[in-house]
Amino acid sequence: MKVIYGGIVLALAWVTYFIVSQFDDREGVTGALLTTGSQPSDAIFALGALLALRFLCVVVLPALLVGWLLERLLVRLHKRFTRARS
Amino acid sequence: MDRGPAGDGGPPRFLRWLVVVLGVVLTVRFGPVAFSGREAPAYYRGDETKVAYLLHGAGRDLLTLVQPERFYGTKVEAKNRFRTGSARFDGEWFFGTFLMTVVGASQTAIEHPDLAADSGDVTHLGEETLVAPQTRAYDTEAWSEDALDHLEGSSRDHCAYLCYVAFGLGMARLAEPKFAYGELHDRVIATLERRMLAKESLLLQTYPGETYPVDNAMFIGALGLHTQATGTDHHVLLERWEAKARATMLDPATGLLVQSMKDDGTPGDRARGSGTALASYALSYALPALSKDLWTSIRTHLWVSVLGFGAIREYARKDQGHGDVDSGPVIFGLGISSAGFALGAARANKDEQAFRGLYASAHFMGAPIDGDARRNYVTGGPIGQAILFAMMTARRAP
Repeated sequence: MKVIYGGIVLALAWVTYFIVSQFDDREGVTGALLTTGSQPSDAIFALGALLALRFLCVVVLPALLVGWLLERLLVRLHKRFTRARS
Repeated sequence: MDRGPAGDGGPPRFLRWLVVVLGVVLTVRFGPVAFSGREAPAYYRGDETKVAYLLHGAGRDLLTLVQPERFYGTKVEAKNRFRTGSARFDGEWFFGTFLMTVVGASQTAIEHPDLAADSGDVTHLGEETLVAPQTRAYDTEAWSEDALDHLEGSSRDHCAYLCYVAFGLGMARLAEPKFAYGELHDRVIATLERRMLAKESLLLQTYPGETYPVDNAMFIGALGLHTQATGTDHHVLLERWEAKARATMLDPATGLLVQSMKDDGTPGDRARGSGTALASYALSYALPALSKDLWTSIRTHLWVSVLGFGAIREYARKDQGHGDVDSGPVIFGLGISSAGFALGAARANKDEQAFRGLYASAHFMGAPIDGDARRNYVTGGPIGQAILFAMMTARRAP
């Protein structure tokens, strides 16, 4: 179940990322943020949210998901191996 | 031995955790860079479909910049979308966006004749804006005279505008059979050549009292383009400038390009990654040996690889420094601009491994989105898109 939940969370994170990136692109929010200070604070939030989501989608969630997948695989193999021995 | 949940007879708990940790570590090491860098080989090869997407994305940005645009819920004038806190830098970024897009579109037309029509549309829009008086207002204000209105009579260098516009128009002239600004381009080249030859240092001033070798390198690159486009011989100045650059403009310890020079011809700042990378790209069109040497110095003294992602330090390893408008943010010593410009230097100098690493970083941090046959790197905005477009389509050395 952990793997299924993990997959759902990863999919939701990607969907959220695409929504935020579309918003940022259309509004040009992030375009003027290379030097900040005179921008609306929520525009900076939009950029931060975009990068955080990207980090989550590309690094954190896939790594956790692969870890869980391998652990489940190990458990299944162990069961099959012990059954075959008995 | 400690087992999993009581009675399940599963593998030892430590083994399960070991497998989880192993999976996480291996995924973090190889997954993100494989995902982010998967398109790098296609861009390095110059895949036509990929390049067309970049062209259309950059073209859309130009269109939005020449008309009042809805920005953050309100209508604002195009130039006001750049808010660096300095009117001069706002103007530089507006100009730089059009310049880099013209350069990218022209390079695309040269490498992909099938995209020449689309490239031409983007280039014509860009050229018109590049030579418009309001586009060079930042330079006019600094020098108290208009650069193009005083080409023959003045001795003021105007390198902040003229060195770059000479490069942009030169690239467009190479790409376009019917180039509309040939006479103006010839006058700009002749003027800058005359002004440079009149100086012992062979360095033009960007602004009054400010001299940057990288800006001069753009003009030297423009001379190479002018020769290729028109057949005009500039070898005397090119040879003298290369000798002078090797003698006075390179850091003796690293071979990197010094960022600024004093009036007496001595270094005014340390060598920097952003300037060296842009100079290496521009010089590849005129002085390929010097371009290659600068790139080798970057690889030796500034190159960093983190989990397979490529990055470029803004300062050499022994130096520490802050970011500014040239470098962009400097995070843990790594520069944003230096990595962007290094993409072009890597492609120009046929360093595919570096190009792949740098592209993976640009893809990860740039947050690209595709739609309507275009690609835009969201986090860099119009100027980031334009720089990436120009650098990712840089001509590879023969």
